[in-house]
Amino acid sequence: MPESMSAEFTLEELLIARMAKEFRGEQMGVGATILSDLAARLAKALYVPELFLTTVSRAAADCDVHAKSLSDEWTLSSSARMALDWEEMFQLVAQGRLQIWIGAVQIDRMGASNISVVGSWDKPKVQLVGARGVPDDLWGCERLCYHMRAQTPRSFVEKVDFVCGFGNGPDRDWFGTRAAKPGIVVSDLGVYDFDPKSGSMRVQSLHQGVSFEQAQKCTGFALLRPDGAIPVTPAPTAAELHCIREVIDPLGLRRLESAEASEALTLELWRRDPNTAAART
Amino acid sequence: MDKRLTMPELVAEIAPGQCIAFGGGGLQRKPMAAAKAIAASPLTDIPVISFLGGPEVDLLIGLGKVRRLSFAFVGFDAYGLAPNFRRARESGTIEVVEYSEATMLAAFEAGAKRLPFIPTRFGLGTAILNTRTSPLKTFTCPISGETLVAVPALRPDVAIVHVNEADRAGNAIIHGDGFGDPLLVRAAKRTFLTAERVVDRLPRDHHRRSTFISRLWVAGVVEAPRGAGLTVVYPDYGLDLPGVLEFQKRATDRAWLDSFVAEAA
Repeated sequence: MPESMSAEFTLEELLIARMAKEFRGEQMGVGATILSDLAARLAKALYVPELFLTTVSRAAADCDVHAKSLSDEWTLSSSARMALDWEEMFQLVAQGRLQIWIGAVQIDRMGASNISVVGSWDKPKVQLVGARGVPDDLWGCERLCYHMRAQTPRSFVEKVDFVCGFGNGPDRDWFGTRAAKPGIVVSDLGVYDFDPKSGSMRVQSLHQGVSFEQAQKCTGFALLRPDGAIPVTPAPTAAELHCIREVIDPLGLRRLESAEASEALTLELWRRDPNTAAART
Repeated sequence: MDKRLTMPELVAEIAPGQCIAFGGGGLQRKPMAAAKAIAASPLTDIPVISFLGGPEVDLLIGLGKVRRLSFAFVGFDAYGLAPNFRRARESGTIEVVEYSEATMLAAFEAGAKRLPFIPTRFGLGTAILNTRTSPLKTFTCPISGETLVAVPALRPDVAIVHVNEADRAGNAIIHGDGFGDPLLVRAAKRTFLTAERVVDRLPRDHHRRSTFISRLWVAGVVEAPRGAGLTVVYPDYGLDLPGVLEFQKRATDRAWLDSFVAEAA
């Protein structure tokens, strides 16, 4: 976390509030990380009441805004309007009805992403989880947004090792405009978009206390600067902070994607989660 | 009609070399009791399919039982990577076929419809088309002229799906996320269910959000209370998180894994 982050809010709260701003309209709103799941809930609570939540369980889809739990099905089910089966979900994806924040392991200069392997696919240096739905979301979403936990030269790379979703450049040019554009990328240091001309990643804002030089040092390629002074990522409002702390995450599960994350913290929060006992029957 | 059988009888139904597909997803509704029974059997060199693999495939990989794994995901959801899958891949000791979610569902759909392939746009232009083992091919659509992906059918010899409740004829209900299971049971040559409960008659007014599986797709049912082991079966039981974290830390230790298999499911 940047050294001078304000004592009034945490990095996680800043990111939740920022990611929430990207959801709009009567669409499926999905966050594949804890913070972006909370961002979808915050967006629905404060800005986009028509947002269709289906983050954690397709079986409890189109639910109201609930406090996040490690056993989410037990709470979401109480207000879910439907179960969304996977065939219908991909039909909705194909028709542009999904807005998603993806937690990628690598993102590159042109916005290609990777969650499958680090190193060669034939004999990976690190085997991650597999391509999952990224190659699919690419062909339906208007754009793909990425929540990167830690910005380093190993996560912000010149070229991804395995293309789960392709970015700007020859692939997009070849396949035409139907594929998703790389959208917004957030990290622990800043918020990035892609220059419409060159297709290359560009700083949109940096978090309070982060300099361009610092962000550049944590990036494996040359970042573009925006025109003029670099904006500071807007602080969460009082209403946003209240909603995050009191309504959607009173248990503090956002800490699991903070610098203090640990197995002990996971177990502590799991034990304190009011749903754990209910789910243990 | 009574399709009930015991877990050993289910395992005996699987011939050497047959391809086994597991239902559920990640840490949800995984047929752990069945996977343990297979792990303890002489079956080996198994081609395995898991749409969203979790501890059931990690267990079998750790015991050296898996010849080839077809998957769109293998992991422990929010709690990290699958240890034996990771080790086997990084040491090059397992052959894998990587799909995306929608392409594997398309493969099941083609299998269910007994078609050679299903066309899709999902996955186009990504690296899953170019791996050494990828079955996906691009072709020019005869209708629109655009480039599309042909996803060849998957027809597992045996599918094993864990459900909340089944009757003796094999009708079944899944209350939580159904994942790819409705398509999987139709693609497979034979489907066996493991069920938390086998009942005389399923409730008529079963929950409107539940997934229903017809007996027409089902060859046999094993009653297996707590049959998903460490994983979640909504609303019957939640995740055994301490158990999952211990598995993750210790499952690459063969002695620990043997004792894990020996424990009652």
